Order: sequence, then structure tokens, then C-alpha cells
Amino acid sequence: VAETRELRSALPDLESLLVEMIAMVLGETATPTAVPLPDVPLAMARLIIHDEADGSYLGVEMRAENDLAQMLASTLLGEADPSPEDVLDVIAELGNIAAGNVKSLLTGNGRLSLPSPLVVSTAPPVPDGTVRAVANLLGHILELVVMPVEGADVATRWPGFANV
Amino acid sequence: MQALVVDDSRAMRTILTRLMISLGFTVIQAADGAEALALLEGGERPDVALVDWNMPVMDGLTFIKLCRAHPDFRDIVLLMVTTESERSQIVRALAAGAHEYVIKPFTSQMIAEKLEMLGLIAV
Repeated sequence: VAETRELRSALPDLESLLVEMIAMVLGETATPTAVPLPDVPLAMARLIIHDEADGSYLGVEMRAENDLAQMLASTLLGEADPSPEDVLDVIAELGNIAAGNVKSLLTGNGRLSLPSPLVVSTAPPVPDGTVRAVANLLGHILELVVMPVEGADVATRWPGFANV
Repeated sequence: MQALVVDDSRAMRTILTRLMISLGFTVIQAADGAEALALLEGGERPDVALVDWNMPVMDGLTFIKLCRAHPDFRDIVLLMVTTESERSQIVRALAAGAHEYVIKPFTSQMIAEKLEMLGLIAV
């Protein structure tokens, strides 16, 4: 897929992607920031991009303060108190949209996994070479993380298809 | 006019359902291609289907191919609404039988313009 240097050079594009995606999906204005995610529970979704041409993999994660993810789920679904499943669904779809555009931006031709969403108590560590596009939205932080990975773990789900 | 929204994300189904209702459609939903196919086999005949690509169980591309191959379903207008944005993927979807293609994220205007191009609404 992309070398570390290419990932770093893509950071401005990733920041633009994050801001534009928020505006189009949520109708809200996000502002790029250098402020990191606070040490609070996070809603996150992870996807894998597999470049079948060279056998390489990229990990893409959408991470947001869980409070922010709940607010977004409430807005999108029109429900005052969205369920935990709905919060995961919203972060998963944001991750899906971001990862699809990352795939187009960085690989040009790869296979995209389904999102794996979860809530974590603290941000998981990332490998060297990871790039992060961070934005402030409604006073909370969310970030788009793109990282080199060795492969897809066994929990990775791929789209279902049939031989038609 | 009836629309079928096929997407594994409840949030995306909600967004598209609101949009289609605002454009005058009634809406039925499915969470993957297999569910959508079951609706059609059960007698539903939407005028248009908005279909995500990457879904569990049965993806949108497979659903579109099956629709096109079925004599009772081939008149349904098929709009692929997906995050797959490479040119090669767009060509694959259109070759499989999709009438139009919208890349996520989208605006309401983008969807409305596609529906107008397909003769389903007058903007």
C-alpha cells in the first residue's frame, strides 16, 4: 500500500477529508486541531484496506470521544437517547465513509473490510508511521487514524458476496 | 413512488429514508442484499433501490447482478450509494447494471440530481 513517507505526505488530504465528511454527513463544522484525544472512553471503528496487487495492508480507524459519538447518533437518528448499538453503528458508518475515501486517496485499488466498532476506555497504541488527522467538533475531539499493519486480524469482517 | 434503501448501517438508512421521504417517496428498508432480495421475492416492487456496496451476507454488487438477471426485478432503477470511489469500481457497478452511482459522503442535492437524471423526480 503506501510507504510511511507517503502516509505523512497525505496528512493535509486526510484533514480535508475529515472536515468535509463531517460537513456532508452531519451538517456540522469541524476544525482541524493539534489537541489530542483526551483520556476518556472512546467510540472507535477499525477497517482494513487490503491491496491485493502488492499484498499490503493499511489500518484505518475513526476515533471519537464517546460523548461526542452519542451526540452524533442522537442527531442522525433523531432519538434523544440512542442505544449503545446505535452509537457503534454511527461511528462504524463514519469509519466506513472515511476508509473508502482513504482507499481511493492512498491505494487507488484495494479491498475494504467492513467496520469493526467498539467502545474502549482509552486509546489503543498505534505503530510507528501512523498519521492522525484530528478535528474539534462541537467542543469534542475526533480523529482519523491511518496506520501500516501487518495484516487483517481474525476478527476482521469482509463484505459478503456470492458467485453470480 | 416507492424507494428501497439497502444499507447495513441503520444511521445511513435513516439519512437516506428521510431524504427520500422529503422527495415524495415511500420507503422500505433492508440491511443487506439478501434482505433486499427477500423483499422483492415477497412481492415488493420499488421504483428505485439505493444500494450500498460493502455489506455483510450479500454485497450490493451481487444484489444488483441478481436484480438485473431476474425478469420480474429488472425494471427497478438501481442507484449505487457507496464509499467505493475508484473509477474501476464505478465501471464495475455500472457494468453490473447500476443506473447511477453516488459516492459517500453525499449531499441531498447530489441524490436529488441523480433521481432527476433518471426521470424519477422533477427538481
